[in-house]
Amino acid sequence: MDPLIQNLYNVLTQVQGYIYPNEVELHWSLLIVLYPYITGLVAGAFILASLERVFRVKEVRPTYELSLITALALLLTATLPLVSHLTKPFRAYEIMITPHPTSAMAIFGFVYLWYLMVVLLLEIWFDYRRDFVIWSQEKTGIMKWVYKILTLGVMDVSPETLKWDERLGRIVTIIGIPSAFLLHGYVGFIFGSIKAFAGGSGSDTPLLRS
Amino acid sequence: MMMKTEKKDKSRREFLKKVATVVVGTAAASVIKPFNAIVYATAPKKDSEHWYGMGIDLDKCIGCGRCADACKQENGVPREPFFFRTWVEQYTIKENGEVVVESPNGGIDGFKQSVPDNEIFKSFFVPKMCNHCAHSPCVQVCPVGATYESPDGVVLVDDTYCIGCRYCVQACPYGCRYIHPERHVVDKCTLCYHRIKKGLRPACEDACPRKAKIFGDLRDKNSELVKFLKEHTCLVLRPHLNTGAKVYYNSLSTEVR
Ligand code: SF4
Ligand code: SF4
Repeated sequence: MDPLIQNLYNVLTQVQGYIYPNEVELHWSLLIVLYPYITGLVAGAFILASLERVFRVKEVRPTYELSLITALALLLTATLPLVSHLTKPFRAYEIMITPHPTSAMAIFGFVYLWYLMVVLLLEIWFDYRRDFVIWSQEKTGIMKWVYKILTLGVMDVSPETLKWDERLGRIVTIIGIPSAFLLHGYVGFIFGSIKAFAGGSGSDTPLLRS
Repeated sequence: MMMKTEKKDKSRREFLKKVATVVVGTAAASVIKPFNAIVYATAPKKDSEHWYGMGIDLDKCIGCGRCADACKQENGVPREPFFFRTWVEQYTIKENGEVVVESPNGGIDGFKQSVPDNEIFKSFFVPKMCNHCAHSPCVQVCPVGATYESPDGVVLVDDTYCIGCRYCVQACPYGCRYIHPERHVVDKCTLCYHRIKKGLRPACEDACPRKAKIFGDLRDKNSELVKFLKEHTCLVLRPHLNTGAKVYYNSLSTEVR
């Protein structure tokens, strides 16, 4: 017998009271819960980085780069449990190309992209641009080209330009703080816009989640 | 100084007035809506030729489960007791007010009463199915638009498009959806769209020996469904959610969820 069905029979013996037959299967399980857990870490790491960047908390200076890179790495993996939870994972891109505007989940795609592209990647790029330029001159072979591409052609490392990098990076971080709350709190909105659960839905769910 | 405070007071009063209007208005709207939920859903919202719905006469249902069985055969629904497009529930209200609900295998194999006779106040059967909601929560949440409403008011799923995110399964307050274990997309009642478009009746209605299910077109004033609605006092399930449900139950007790 199919392991899913075998498992459902086991679950059925544990059901107390009555639930709709189609709801014996738990539809949003561990993989879904992992996602808010990971974005929680992303938001946390980002806030740590911004403590130094925006609020100038000197004690956390040594963790600055580490926390930004951690945020990026975790954000990239955050969608993996979500995509692997889909029964048709190869159709996942449809959310981005044919989003349905009334669906909280479709808009999530854009919240995620905003955070990834506008906040994290941009901030990291401003921080590392000088290094990219230097590395693209020092390294040889394929890595030279990788770094060259990463500079996006902006090779100017005069103190004047570096000051601009710093300033723009700071602005991005300031935008990033509310965005980190948004990204994490948005999960609450996905759950909150469901009418069917008595406990999980409500206008306060996004706040409680963030 | 005096002037300033006065001005401030005035704008504050204005503001409070506005807030009060919004609050009272919202509260009133949310109280009024459920009461005309039936009327609202009955009126088709688009210029469509048909507007399909279903009536269920609970006084007639004997809990034989033939509808649930016929549906599984007609629509290739897996036989296991976790996948149903339609199923039958047995409600038993005990003398002490406790409500017992059972649906072993969706009622396909019939029912046994687990409550001793002397404790029963009353007992009845409730066939369940998709309500083909006019403001369906499932259509609203589908991230890719794979769940949609046909122009004649039937909620359908495009299974070449569904990504299987299960958001709609979570969103349906009536538990009408499941993930098909072989096709790996969501599946639900289609009101036997393939049959009704040929002028046939849905398989469940055809199988019912008591004619407890009455499929029909709410647009057609002479349809059996409209006649049924005129002659009976019908209610929909969970009217407070304002889903615009179009499955109308005669003799629905408040205990039914
Ligand atoms: S499971 Fe399919 S039909 Fe349901 S919300 Fe997800 S994509 Fe839409
Ligand atoms: S009963 Fe459920 S599946 Fe059917 S239209 Fe309403 S929300 Fe959608």
